[in-house]
Amino acid sequence: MRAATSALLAALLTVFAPPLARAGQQHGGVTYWQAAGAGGPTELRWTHEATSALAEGVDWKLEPELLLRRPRSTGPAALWDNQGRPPVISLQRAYLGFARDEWLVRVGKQVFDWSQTDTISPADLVSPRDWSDITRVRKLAAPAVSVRYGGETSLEAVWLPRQEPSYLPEGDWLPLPSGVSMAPPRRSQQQQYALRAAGNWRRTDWSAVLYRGHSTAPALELGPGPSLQPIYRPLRAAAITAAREVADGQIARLEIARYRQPDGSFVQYVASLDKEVDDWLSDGDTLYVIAQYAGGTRRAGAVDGLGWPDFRRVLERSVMVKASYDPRSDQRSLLEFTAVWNVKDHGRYAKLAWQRRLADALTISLAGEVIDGRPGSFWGRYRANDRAMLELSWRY
Amino acid sequence: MKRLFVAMTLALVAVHAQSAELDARSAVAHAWQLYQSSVQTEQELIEVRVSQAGQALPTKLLWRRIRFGDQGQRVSVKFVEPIADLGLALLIERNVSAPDQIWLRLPSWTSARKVAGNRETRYFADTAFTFEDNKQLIGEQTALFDYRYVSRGPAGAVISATPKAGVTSGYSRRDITLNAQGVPQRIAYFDDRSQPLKTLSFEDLNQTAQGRWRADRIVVRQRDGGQTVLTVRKRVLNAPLSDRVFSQASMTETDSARRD
Repeated sequence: MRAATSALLAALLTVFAPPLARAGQQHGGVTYWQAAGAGGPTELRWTHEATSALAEGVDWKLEPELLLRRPRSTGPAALWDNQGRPPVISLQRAYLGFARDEWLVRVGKQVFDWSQTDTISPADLVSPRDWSDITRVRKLAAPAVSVRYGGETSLEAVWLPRQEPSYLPEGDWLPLPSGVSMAPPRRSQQQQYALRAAGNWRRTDWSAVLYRGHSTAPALELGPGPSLQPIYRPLRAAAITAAREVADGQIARLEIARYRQPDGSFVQYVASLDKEVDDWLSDGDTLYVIAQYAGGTRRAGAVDGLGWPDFRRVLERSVMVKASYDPRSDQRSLLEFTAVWNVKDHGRYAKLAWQRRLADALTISLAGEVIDGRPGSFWGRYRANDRAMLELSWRY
Repeated sequence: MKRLFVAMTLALVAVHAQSAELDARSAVAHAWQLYQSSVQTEQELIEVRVSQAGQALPTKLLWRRIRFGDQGQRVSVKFVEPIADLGLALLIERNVSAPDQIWLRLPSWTSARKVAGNRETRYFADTAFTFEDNKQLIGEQTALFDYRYVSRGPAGAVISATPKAGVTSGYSRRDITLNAQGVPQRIAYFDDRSQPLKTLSFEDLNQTAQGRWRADRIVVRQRDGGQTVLTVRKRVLNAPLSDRVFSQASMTETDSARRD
């Protein structure tokens, strides 16, 4: 095992060290994160980003990442392929790009952000998610070929040679009955396609998305053992988004998508209004507020027969309010409050965070999360997961 | 007869004041016509040095790309230094006959977002420049202000610009100093109580035979002692900048100080 690990590390260094050393621009960051309490989980993440131009209009990007987490309820993490969970070493974005006039072609691992609304985005269908920590979800890169044409009005086509699975919840975010294990996810080898048109018409940002592939959210099947087998259902979806400045400097955003899956179709929508207020408490400060509601049809499919939620839909029927206060409007110090309330089952989540840039490259963040809800509700199952968190982030 | 004389005198005074106002407006408009003459696109690598309360902040480096058009300009600003600002990007669609549209991308965001266009009085990225100042550095929207000469002579002129009713501005007045060639040299800004707020100086001015002018150094001195100095490290006029450069998607593309 040790020999295999050494060989893998040597291979990685051989492959990535020369281009990294020659990269025209390099930067990255190290983030230490800890939740309070004895034996509270800790995380150390190092992300490096290297970019360089090979010739006029040809460039590449490499983004290797190292992640150390403790404790792990599912045993030690695999170095490279962790069967649907975050591995120790991963390659996030890694692509070759070709740009000429209005054309942009990228081949390799990419992240696609087609969202318009906050946190929940029905039109953001392509990139898999890291759901290992439910309240710190992030997007993952997936191997793809993307071709984009245009400027303000553009058309983008994306092809993924196979389905890239999301990372499953871990630890306290995956309450499993005793004696039941989680099998590695079964990924599809089928190709995935997406097409997106976007533009600005009459001062409204719009986009339309067509997607044919698999859901980024895993569903569960009962396997032998007994074990739970994560699967990814085939999905066809069509979505539209819009964003427009309305009265008094407010921005209204809307996303609507229709999903067609083997177990039925449903529509999901998200509408939000956000506004920045200057000189709110004192001269030079800024308050940013966003109010958002997410809804959907055919709620029966939002939770499967095993009680496993569709993670794309956990914020449906919920009101979300976010407020961010910047006392000097310079992003050096931020006080942020987030609250989510499910209007149907009354499950709720709240987070208060304070962030301060200590030096040009060093940022500290302190946060507290409170979760409550009925035992059967989405938030209810995580009632015991209230926590205080510390994060130190250094960029170079 | 006496009434007629008074009426004619008043009419003449009004016409004279109007023509003087038009004259002052034309002088300011002409200065920015010279600035934009024969320029379709502009690409600049700008160094920004800011000092506040006697302390120098980390030097910033940004790309500013402008596409001039009949109906306005599109301006792309992307920061490449320091590390805390890397990824900060702004896209402004400045319209002659409609409100501006602005898109912002903060370093922690994976995509750009539309933000409120009316943020004239807000300061930009720790500098002494407001969004309004940034816009006025590439052209003046003369329809939004009233102009009058404060002084006039062979060496140049000082023109006062005051916002028209209903126009959002961070200043009650700006005094624009033009040199003998009609090129702006200095702008004095006044707060809502008409007290001096800051001054902006165009330095290292260069002018072509056709009159097109550029300042390679712009210095803003604030009332509180703070200072912001913009120095243009590179400038390319009429480079072939595609529509893609002025799109939201390009705001997330990596830029470096070396890129031409």
